[in-house]
Amino acid sequence: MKFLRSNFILFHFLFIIVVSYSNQCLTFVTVFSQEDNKKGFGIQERERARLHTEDNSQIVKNDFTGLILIGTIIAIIGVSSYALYKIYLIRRKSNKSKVKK
Amino acid sequence: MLSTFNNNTILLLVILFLLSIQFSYSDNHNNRSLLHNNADLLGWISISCGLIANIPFILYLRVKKISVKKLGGGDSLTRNLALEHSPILNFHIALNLVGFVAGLFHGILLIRGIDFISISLTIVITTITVSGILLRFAKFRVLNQFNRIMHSHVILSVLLLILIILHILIP
Repeated sequence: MKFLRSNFILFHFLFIIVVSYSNQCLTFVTVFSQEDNKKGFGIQERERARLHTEDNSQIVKNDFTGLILIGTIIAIIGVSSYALYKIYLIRRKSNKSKVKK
Repeated sequence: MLSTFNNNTILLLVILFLLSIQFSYSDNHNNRSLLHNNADLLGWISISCGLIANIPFILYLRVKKISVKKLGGGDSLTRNLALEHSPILNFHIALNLVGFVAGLFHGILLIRGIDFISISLTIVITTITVSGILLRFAKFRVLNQFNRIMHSHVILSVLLLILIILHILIP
């Protein structure tokens, strides 16, 4: 394990990770910016793309799924607000107990 | 400076390294087709990883809590369960990260079939995963408290379950 902690190995790891992620991002940008016929998408993907082209407003029209997205965002904001409020309560309680001492 | 790196940092680096595995798009057309045709399979892999990683972990936490309450901290069963915490947690993190990456690629490959349910699912999964990673690696107490509440809140868990079911049922 001592060998793993040496500076050389850690820098080497960091370098490989940074290069790999950059390469991965470039590959995705290159592949997904190509034209459709060059992408080699599968049949299922083509069928889905065709369906979406036929009714490209489907994503906006469907109120039910739209409500789910709004509900999700509200839930996440609600939970994070609850977490912050809980932390505030804990801190206030600890501050009060410090003052009493 | 780097000599102060601890085991957690090394573990984080290893996980990042494993996640940076390269896909070959350019050389072989069959590989690309294979990946795109199996995009649905990646979604099922993600769901399976989530189930395998979370159900035993939640059961373990429940049993541990009950044993502490009923038997007390000094009992051998409680102590044995406490000793198992670290490996079970590592299993939970590793498998969930695999599931997250599989789900990510499933989403990227089927990006054209995106709908509001998929977007909601992505938001919830990313929130829970990021809070979990921060909970494991962050050092600040306030951040840990915040992430603990976010990661283990029942509303987000139920929402995730509902969204997964809707995602499967509504293609």
